[in-house]
Order: sequence, then structure tokens, then C-alpha cells
Amino acid sequence: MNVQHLRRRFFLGTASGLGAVVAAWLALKGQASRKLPDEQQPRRVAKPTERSCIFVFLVGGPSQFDLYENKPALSHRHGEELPVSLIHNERFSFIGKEPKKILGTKREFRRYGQSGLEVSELLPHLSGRANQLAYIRSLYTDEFEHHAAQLLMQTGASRGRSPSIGSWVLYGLGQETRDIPDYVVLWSGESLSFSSDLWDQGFLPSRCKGVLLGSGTKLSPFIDSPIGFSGEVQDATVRSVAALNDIRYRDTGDGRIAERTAAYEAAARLQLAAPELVNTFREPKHIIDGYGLNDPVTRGFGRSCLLARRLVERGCRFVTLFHSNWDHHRNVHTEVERRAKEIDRPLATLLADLEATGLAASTVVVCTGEFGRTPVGQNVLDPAHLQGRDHHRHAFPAWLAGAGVAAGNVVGITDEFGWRPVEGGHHIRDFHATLLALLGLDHRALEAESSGRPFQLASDEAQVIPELMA
Amino acid sequence: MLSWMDGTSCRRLAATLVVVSVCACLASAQSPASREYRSVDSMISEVLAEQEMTPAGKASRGELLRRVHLDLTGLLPSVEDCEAAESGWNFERTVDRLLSSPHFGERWGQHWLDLVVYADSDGFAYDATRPAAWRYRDWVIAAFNADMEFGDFTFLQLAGDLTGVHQEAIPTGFLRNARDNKDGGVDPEEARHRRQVERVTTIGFAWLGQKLACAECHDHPEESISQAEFTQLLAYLEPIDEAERAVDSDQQATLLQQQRERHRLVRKMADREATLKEGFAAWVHKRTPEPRSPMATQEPLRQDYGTEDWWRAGTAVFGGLFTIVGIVLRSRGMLACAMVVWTGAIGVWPTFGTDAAAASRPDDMLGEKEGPGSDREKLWKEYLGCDPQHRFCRAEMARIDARISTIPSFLAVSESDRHPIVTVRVNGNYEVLGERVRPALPEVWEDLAISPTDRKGFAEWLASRDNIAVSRHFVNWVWTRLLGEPLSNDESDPDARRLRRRVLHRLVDEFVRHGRSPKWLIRTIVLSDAYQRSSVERSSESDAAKRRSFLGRQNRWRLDGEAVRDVTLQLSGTLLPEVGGESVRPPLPPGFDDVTYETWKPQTGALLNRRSVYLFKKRSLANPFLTAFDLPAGTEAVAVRPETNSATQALAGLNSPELFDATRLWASRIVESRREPSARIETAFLQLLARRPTSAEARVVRESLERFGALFSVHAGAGQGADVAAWTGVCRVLLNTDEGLTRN
Repeated sequence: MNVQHLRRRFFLGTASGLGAVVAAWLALKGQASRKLPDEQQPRRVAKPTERSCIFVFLVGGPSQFDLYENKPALSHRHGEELPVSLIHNERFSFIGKEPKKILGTKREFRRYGQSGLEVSELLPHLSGRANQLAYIRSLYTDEFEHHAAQLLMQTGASRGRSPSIGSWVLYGLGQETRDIPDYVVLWSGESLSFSSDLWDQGFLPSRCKGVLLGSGTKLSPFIDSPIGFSGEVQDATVRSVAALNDIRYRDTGDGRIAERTAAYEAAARLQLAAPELVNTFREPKHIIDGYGLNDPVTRGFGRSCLLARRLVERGCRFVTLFHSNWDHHRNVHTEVERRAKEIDRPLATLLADLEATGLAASTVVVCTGEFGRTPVGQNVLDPAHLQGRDHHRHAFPAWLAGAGVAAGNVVGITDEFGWRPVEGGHHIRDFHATLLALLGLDHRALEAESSGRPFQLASDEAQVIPELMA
Repeated sequence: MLSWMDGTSCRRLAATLVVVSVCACLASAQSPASREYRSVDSMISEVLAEQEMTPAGKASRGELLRRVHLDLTGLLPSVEDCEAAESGWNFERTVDRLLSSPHFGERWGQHWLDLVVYADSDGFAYDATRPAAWRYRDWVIAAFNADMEFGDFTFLQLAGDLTGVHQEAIPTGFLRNARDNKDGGVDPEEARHRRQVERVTTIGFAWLGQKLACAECHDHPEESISQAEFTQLLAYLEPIDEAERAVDSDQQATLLQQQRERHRLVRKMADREATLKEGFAAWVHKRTPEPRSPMATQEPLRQDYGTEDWWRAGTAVFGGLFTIVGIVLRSRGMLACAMVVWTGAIGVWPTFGTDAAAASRPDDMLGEKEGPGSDREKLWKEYLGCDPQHRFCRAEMARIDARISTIPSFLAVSESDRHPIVTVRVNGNYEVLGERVRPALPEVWEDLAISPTDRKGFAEWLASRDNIAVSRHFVNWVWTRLLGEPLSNDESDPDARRLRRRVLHRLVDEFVRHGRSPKWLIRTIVLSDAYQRSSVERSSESDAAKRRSFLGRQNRWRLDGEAVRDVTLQLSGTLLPEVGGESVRPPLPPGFDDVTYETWKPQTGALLNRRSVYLFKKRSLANPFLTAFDLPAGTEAVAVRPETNSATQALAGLNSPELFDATRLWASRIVESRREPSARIETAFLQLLARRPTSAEARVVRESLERFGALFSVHAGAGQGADVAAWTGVCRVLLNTDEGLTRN
């Protein structure tokens, strides 16, 4: 892992010199746009060292008690008050001074796979992939407000403009593809509450920034040439820009000019690659159906999942799928069901598809939210009729699948109410360290300087969670 | 050690004496400011001599003309300017003309707004808009244009509300730039605390160049102030009150009249409601059947009934237990509200829109509750809505509220009677309380004989002529904006650092002596030799030599997105010259606003051709074009923006529809003005680059012109249309060249 890091450092050191820039530019020049794999051709099987990550982020804090965490105590003691010892001095977002009453779930749970992982009836497809999952019950975070907690999960810091985890990975692993962005952000579900600082590169080089693929099919808002200026015209434009820049470079000797020309050529290649990337029509029928693209309920998230697979297939390093909204202060029973329907089948298909194409050997898939939800219920208008759950930071789950993951392992135990971990509790910085380790990076070595001080995604005290790693 | 005896030192001594005497003359005789830059130059020549460096030669007239136009106004010189410069060169007059241009304030105001994290919205997930924020932006622009003394400029932003002049509170909009977290569930006091932290951090960065972010949470070994001292600074701001808005002094009478009108309506509505209340009680009573058997005999209700379940339950399970007494239809023909009577209780079942899941469950209707949010309350609202007189009053009220909201106003602060005592938050954790502290300056800042106890005092301290650290930071910031590198740079070798600092200290002394006039400072730097040197790097120099010799040459940097956009609009001839006014919302790419709470309502028409500093700055919806060109995220202060190259940026430069439209207009202007291809090429180069093309460049342009012509003739045929199309292609190339995007 340290070797990876040193190699990266060395690369950064030399690339900043003028010679390297020009060399890189010349290497890029004249190189034809790489032909992307067609659906009919055999799929590329990545080497295990070239790893990618698909981070499924369920925005708003999904209710673990209705999806994975079977806590019979909640149903038996539904309506009773939670022991005061647990909630002494506890701050909630919405629950006020009213009695903290336990809210049971309506869901049936069953055990799946060899590990006997418990999954609720809301995830019938995903439960079929239980053997592929490594599951941790006992993550905890510091924040219980959305934005701060989302930042903490995605950037390792709840304030300020810190690099996102995808940016750190890109920084650590280096650039892989030349035709498509190495770090892509996709979102689906309700329009909602998250902002671009969740995929910002912070003080890292700007190439490490995530590229947001909007709700439509555009890789960038400026991916299309003006009408009449695409194809050969765009090609001629970029060539002329390069020719004039060449003259200028000879006159001034400024290496940034070569860098700019390279950026324009990369832009032209991106324009050529983008339509093929987002064109899913040639996918076989079982793939289209499996991701649920023909069903209005699953279409949005299913498309994100399919694009994620197509991206990692083409060498993309990091894809974050945001899905919203899981913030169920009201009607938690019906709402979680609705959201679960949107993600269940596409997620199961994604895992199966990665397995079938061999990409699972090089791709890590993770799924979690910024925090979990309370075992106590809330009803803003009427405390007597509990409708929803508040934000909960002391214990919430995540699962991982794919390359290097200890499939079938279940980590951590929480108390009978799922309030806090009893065993195997891990701060989310441990989760970050583990994710980096799975991608071949050492969280202690992966650091960058800003304002003369070193920064890391996960501090030195973070520990890799060994039970999650094969 | 004995070097003062050798020749170099003697020369240096002589030079210093000359400088000192020149300065003394200037100070006493009030001679024209035009001569003062010479002292900067002699200081720098001295430094270069000491380091045995030969400075770069002077930039060409065209390069210099373009440079100074971009630096002072963010716009390009006209072809006439270029031609005039070729025949007769009066740089000083050009500089004075630019300094008195209203666009000067727009350019430098934009830089200042980066430093104080200005935006037209609150930030965070909810990111509500701030319709009056632009008043502060306009004040900054006006202050730069008026060459406001830097002390006044400072004081008014921190404590303008305490001068007793109502309108002088506008600059305290500075304190309202802090981001405001209005997301659901956020503790308002904690959100306020975060705003205060941002304010102190921004003050520290903008006025003193110190990053205090670490001190918010802990005592940092590399930080000059402790956490307790950071909290002491927070205490200065503790009493500030952040009103929704402040109405301009000349609008107070209008506001008062509207408020009176509103009050009258409120009373009238209350009277009407009292009358209706009696009718309502009778109405409800008449429609309520006798209570039936208790619910216990029925199947228990599930908590997750959806719409369908509910109807089925109503007819099948509880058949006969309730009757629908009325259905109120709202606009768009959607069933909005069904009122039911259920075993004697009244239930209102609102199903706004199609979101069945948001509807109340049947068991919510079982109790006849009173008070806000109760079913009876909802029913009462519906009942009121049916009364024409009440409806009329409400419509009238809405009209008055709309009128009140459009009364010109601004965002400002005022002083409340909150005690200026703040609790240290241990490790920056809001929940863990430490010691309580009163306002005081950090130890390292206590170099003056002032120890302010309140915000006004703190502002006076910061603005004081004797606060050299503040002046030094401003001078260094202005220098960096004009030469691309700071005069005080901690990372350089100690020798160079000492020499640079010497230049900085001299410049600061003179800045203070000249009444801390920003325009004097900018003029002095721009007229110095250092500014006017060529920015061409000589490849023969070693890296180390390049680093040290920065005083001996200019730097080149890519234009910010605002300048790229403004320049393109300027070339198209459509840029609006008006200064100030409300922020403008340009159209955004489709689907781009999907991730935000508020829908983006774009404007149309000529307004969109305003300068970029007037573009609406919504933090969660940063303009995609400007973002591609390194627009700061609006979360923290930025002294100098980073300069990056990326494929996304190239795509924005090539494909932005707004820029493309402007490019086409520029092309048609070129085609209309000249006939000969070579004359057209020359015009294009003069307009964009303030110079004529070299023969090699002209050849490349002619070739691409032919290529575009051939490609377009397929569709457009020959004639002016094809000409404009081909020229649009060429203009697009030129705008995207390195030189087109660079301030040289």
C-alpha cells in the first residue's frame, strides 16, 4: 500500500515539470479516440489491482429498522418509553420534550445466505444477493444534521471544503481513463437537499473533482457543440486552437499553454465518448429489464446503476450514486417501502451484473446513508400517533460487496433497541479507512498538503475494519 | 559584514538616500502622485541588483494596453485605443482614464466579493435566496469607484450601523454574507454560532490574511491565536441582531403607511372571523350524527393505510360509521379535501396533489382536537375560505404584503442588548461548553494602545491608520492582483523574503502617507516598471532563478470566468454598460436546477447581457460556466482564485450557448466592417489581443477560415451567411486560444 502511495507522489512530482507536461501532451496528440467495448464483444476483465468503487449513498438517512435491523424488542414494546438511561442528554433534530416512545416495524424479517443475514421483506431482490454482501451494523457518526453528516460521510470532515472520498481515491490512484471522467456523480429520486461540496476536490488538484451527470443524459452541461459546430467542425476548431497555441508556446515557453491544448483535446475526446457511454439501447433485454428501466418506479435509480456499471467498465475509478429521499420523519412505513421498491431490484441486478461480467473482481460497491434513524418514533403534530423516525447517529449500518470484500461477514452487535453498538462499534473514519484499503490505498499514507499542513481523509487513529476485508 | 564598504553597498546607500529624499519632497510639497511609483522602482532595482538579476524587458504597447485594461476594468481596449497607442503612447493618461471608469469598481469590487464570500443566497441544503443582498455588492463597487479611504471602507463594513446614519448600515451587509443554515431540525442558536464563526474567520482572512479556521476548535501550534482568543473575537459580534431586512430611509414613510393599512385589515378579518365562528359551530353541529358504538369492537386500524385502503376501510370495514358531508374541490380539479364525520368526530382528509402517502391516516381523525394543525382547525380554514368577505380581505392582504416586500431594502446588522459573553466550544463541538469569555483582542494583535470592548471599538481598531498589519495585508493583496505573486511570501528563501518585505514595507508606508487611497496604490503599482515588464518567461533561466526574479518580470494568468464572459459580450457589442442593480438570473442548462429546493426562474432579454459581477450568485447552483473557470464555491474566503485547466473548462469555453451567441455576433460585426480577409483577421486580432497577427498566425487563421468555409458551404452555400458562419468558427478558435484566455 505504501508503494502505491510513493508511486503516486513520484508521479505528481515529475508531472508538475514543464517537460512532463509537454511529453504528456505529445503522447496524447495524434492518439485516436480509444474505441470503447461494444456490447457484443467480450467484456474486459480488469486486473485486481485496478480497482473502482461504486458508492451508493441513500440521502436522508434510511430507516435501518425497516430494512435490515430486526429488533423484536421494538415491536414487543411498541408505544412504551425508551429507557431514560439511553437518551439522557440526547439531542434530536425534531423530537422535542415529548416522551420518547418506541416505534415498532411492520416488516417481516428472514435470514438469507450462508451468513444468515437478516433482511426485511422490503428488499426481496437484494436479499437474494446476501452471500455477496459484507454487512456492518455498528457504524456511528458525529453529526445528526443532514448537511454536516453528509459532508462527514463523503469528505471525512463536517465543515469546510474538504476533498470528497472520490477525489482522494483519484488523487491516490492516479488518472485512468482519458475519454470519460474518472469520478462521476449520478443522482436519482426526488430533487433534493445536497450540494456540490459532497463531490468537491477541496485543496486537491481540480482534475480530482467529481463530474455531476445530471438527471438527464448529459455528462456535462456543455457536452454538446453548438448546432452546426459538431463533428468535423469541432475537430477543425480544436486543431486550429492547438496550432495557434503552438506558435504562442514557441514565443513564450510557458508550459501551461501545452496543458491547455491537452485539455481541449481531452474535451474533444470526451464529446466523442459521451454519447456512446449514455446510450444504453444496445444492452441486452435481460439487462434492461433487470435494472428496471421499463418500470417507472425503478427507472431512475436503475439507470444510475446501469451507467455506473458502464462507467467502471470503461475504467472510471469512482462513481457515487445519490438516491433520495430517505428522510422519513412522517409515514416511515409507507415511505421506506416506496423507496425500497425503487432501489431493490436495480441494486440486486447491479451486483449480479458485476459478478457476471467479472467486474466484481475489480469493483467495490458500498451502500449506506449519512446516518440511521431512531428506534423511537415521532409525530410533529401529535406525539400520541407516531408516524416517523428522527435522525440517529449512534448506530447505523452499511454494506459492501465486490473486490476484496469479506462476502458473507456480518460485523458488530447493537443493543436490543439498536441505539448504540455493544460490540464492534466503528466510527465512520474506520469505514473510510476500510474503503481506501479495499481500493489499495493506505489511509495513513494518503495525505496532501494545504496551507502548509498535511490533511488526510481518515486520521491516523482510524483503523481498517478487518472483518470486512477478505 | 564589511560589505557596506564595497561599491555595491555604496550605490545602494546612495539609491536609498535618493528614495528617502524624493519621498520627503513628495510628502511636503504635495506634488502630483505621478512621480511616486519611482520610489517603488528604485527599491526594486536595488533588490534586483543585490540578487544580480537582470529584469525582463518592457512589455509591448499592445500587451501592456490589454493588460492594464483587463486589470483595471476587466474589459478589452478598443481598436481605436490600440491604434492610438501605436501612434502616440501616454500610459499615464490611459491609466487615469481607466481608474475613473465606472468599470474599475466592478472589477475590483468582484475581487473584494471573493474575499468576503458574497452570495445572493443562504447556502447549505435549503439555500434560500437573499433578494436584498446585492445592495452590499453595489456599495462595494461604488466604494472602489469613489476611492473610499481604506479605513472608512473597513469601519463601515464592520460597524456602519453604529454611525447614526441609517444608510451607512448598508455596508454591514458584509456581516450578512455568512452562510445561514435553515435546514429542518437545525438548532437556530447553533446555526447563529456557525455564522459568527464564519464572520470572524472571514474578517481574519480578508483584513489580516490569517487563516483562523483551526483556532475555532483548538489551540493550534502553527496558529498565532488560541481558541479562547478566537472566542473573544466572537464576543465582539455577539450582540449583533440580524433583522430580516432594513428599509431605506426614504422609504420609511411608505412602509409605515402600508403597515397601517395591513393592521386595519387584520382587525377587519378578526371581526369577520368572530362573526363566522358562531355560524361554523352551528354548521358542524348540524352535520354531526349521534355517536355510535365504540371503536373497540372494530378491527384495529393499521398505521400504514394508503389512499386505497382508506376508502376500502370506510366502506367495507366500518361501513355506515361515517358519512361524507362535503367535498371541497380546489384548483386544477383535483380532490383537495374531503370532510368526513366519523363516529361523531370531524375529520379532514387533505390530499393535496397526488401524494397519497402524505395524507393523514384515518385514526388521526378520531379525536376532535383544537388548536393549530388539528382537523377541526383545518375544517375551519376551509369554512373561512368559502366566505366571500373574508376571501376579499385575504386577497387584499396578499397585495399589501407583496407591496411591502418590494419596498427597497437591504441586509444589515444592528446592535441588540445581548450580553457580549461567549462560551468556548471545546474542540469546536457546540455541545461541549468551556470557559466564558468577554470581547478582547488576541495577544498578538495588541500592538496598538487600543483595547476595544465592543464591536464599534473593534471596527475602529481594525480601521485605524496605525494598524499597519491591516494596511500591509491590503497592499500585498493589491500587489498580488496586479503582479500575480505576493510581496510577502513565506515559502521563499530568507534572503528573497527579506528583500520583498522591504519593498512591501516601503509601499505600505507610502500608502498610509497618501491617506490610504486604493486608487493611489493601484496607480502607483501600475505605473511602476515592475508592472510594465514583459511576462514572457526566458527558458534559459533555471527554476531557482525564475522563482527569485519575480520582481524582475510580470506574470501571466488565465482570465477568470467573469472576464472571459464579459470580454466575449464586449466583442459582440451587446454588453450592457450600466453599473449596479439587482442580480440577474441567466438561463441554466436543462435539468441543472433539479438538485435544489427552489426552482431557478431565469430572466430573458437584454438584461442577460449585464456584466458577470451582476449574475445571481446562488451557492448551491453555481453558474456552470463560471464554475468551470474556477469560481469559488462561496463557502470560504478566497484571496486569489486557483487557476486550473480541465476538459470541462474547455467544453464550457467551446460550447457555452451564451458565449456562442455572442461569438456569432462578433463574427458578423467583423464581416460587416471589413471586406478583405486579411483586414478582417487584423481587426479580430486587434479587438481580442490588442496586437496584429504574425504572418504564421495569419496563415493558420486563413487556413482554418478556408476549412470552415468548405465545411459550412455544404449547408449554407456561398454569400454573407457562409462568411459569418466561417468567421464564427474562427472567432470561436481565437477566443479559445491560450492568449485569448490569458492576461499576459
